[in-house]
Amino acid sequence: LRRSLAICAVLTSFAFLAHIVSASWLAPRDPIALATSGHAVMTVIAVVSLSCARAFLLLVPGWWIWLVVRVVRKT
Amino acid sequence: MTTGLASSSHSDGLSRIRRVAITIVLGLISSCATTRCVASRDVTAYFEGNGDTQDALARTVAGAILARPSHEALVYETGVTRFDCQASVAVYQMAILGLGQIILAHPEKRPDYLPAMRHAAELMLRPETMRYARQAYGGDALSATDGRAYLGYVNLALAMLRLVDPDTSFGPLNDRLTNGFVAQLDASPHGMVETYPNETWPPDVAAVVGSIGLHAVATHLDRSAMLRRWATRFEACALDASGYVVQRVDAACIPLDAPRGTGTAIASYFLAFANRDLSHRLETALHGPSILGFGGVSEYAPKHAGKGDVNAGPMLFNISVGATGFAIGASRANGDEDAFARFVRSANLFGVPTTVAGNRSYAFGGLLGNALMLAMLTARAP
Repeated sequence: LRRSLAICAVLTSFAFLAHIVSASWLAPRDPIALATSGHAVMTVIAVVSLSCARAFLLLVPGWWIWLVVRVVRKT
Repeated sequence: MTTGLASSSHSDGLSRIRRVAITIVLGLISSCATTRCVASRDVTAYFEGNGDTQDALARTVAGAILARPSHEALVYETGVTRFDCQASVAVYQMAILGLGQIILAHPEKRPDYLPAMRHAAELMLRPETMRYARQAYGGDALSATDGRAYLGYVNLALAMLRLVDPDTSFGPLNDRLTNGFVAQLDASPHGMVETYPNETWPPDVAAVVGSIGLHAVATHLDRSAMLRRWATRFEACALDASGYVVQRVDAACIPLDAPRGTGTAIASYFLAFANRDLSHRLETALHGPSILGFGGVSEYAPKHAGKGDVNAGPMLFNISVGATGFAIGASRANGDEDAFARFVRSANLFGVPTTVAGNRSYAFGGLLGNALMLAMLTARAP
């Protein structure tokens, strides 16, 4: 249980960081202009990273609830 | 003894299944609640026209436009000239409409946004943004004597600029384009104007008509009779039984494409400047699924199917990004708060609104997406 909590905390923190960094990088830029002006790889990395981080952050409350329920049962 | 053990084991199994089920349900509920909470940010503020909320996005759009040198409009280089030029016009048109709508709602913001609107108008009329139209017609791309409904987008933006800046130097061009369109529409048996040679797109005609309506407001002309005459012919030609607008027709009004959500939604937004009844009818015809407060607009009307196109953008289960985005403007222009909230939540979920140094932008949108969202989110309420 302790290991699950640690993994969840690390992944949540990592997803937060990835979301903030990729969103802040993309927001002042123009993905279409970037992708067609020789920065396609960077753009794809930022878009994929932001999408994955966002999807994870929206699903992670479910994981936290599951862990909390297990902690409550143990105690 | 054996029976008791089996019973206890069976009971433990059921209890475990129940616990797992409860945990999964709780997890799903919490994930859905988080998603909805995150996506609902600023929905009410936008619908009510909160100035600070609008400013955060408007500053981003205005700043990006003013940062552009006046001799070089933004033109994407995707290799598809038609898309590149149309996207460029859309960036500046939507920016002008969005900023103009804010000024109309909050006149004290005129000094903040008028310079960006003027600059956007100059960039919108640059030769590079009209490259595709010049190729299609040859010669002057800013003439409106033989079709050219693509200029409806330009003229709508110029009419908005004129409304908030009556002395604009673009007034004569706005008059010339409008008079040309009025003559063409009145002479057309179906109320249609070609966008490019042998191409008639009713949603583009809606932009033309929106520009005539807005020009009438800006110049205090009464064109209501002409606009009513046009609406009857337009409905007969382009309105499907589903209430959706047919995306493309030929010269005899034979459909060349299906009734589509993108065309219907954007036509509803444009027509709010000229014919509120028709705009409202189109807005109420928009349909699509609604789940947990999120909504999307079906791209193809019932009994029709297709793969979409660049206007529709990415599509999933017949729900298109383009139709849903344009429906934000259609629903606000028609005072439909529930629909507006559903569509904006979807845009917030997938567009990732991000605030950097007090300026808001959609991370996946770029200047085109931000300008479109600004125009749709600030569409003039009835």
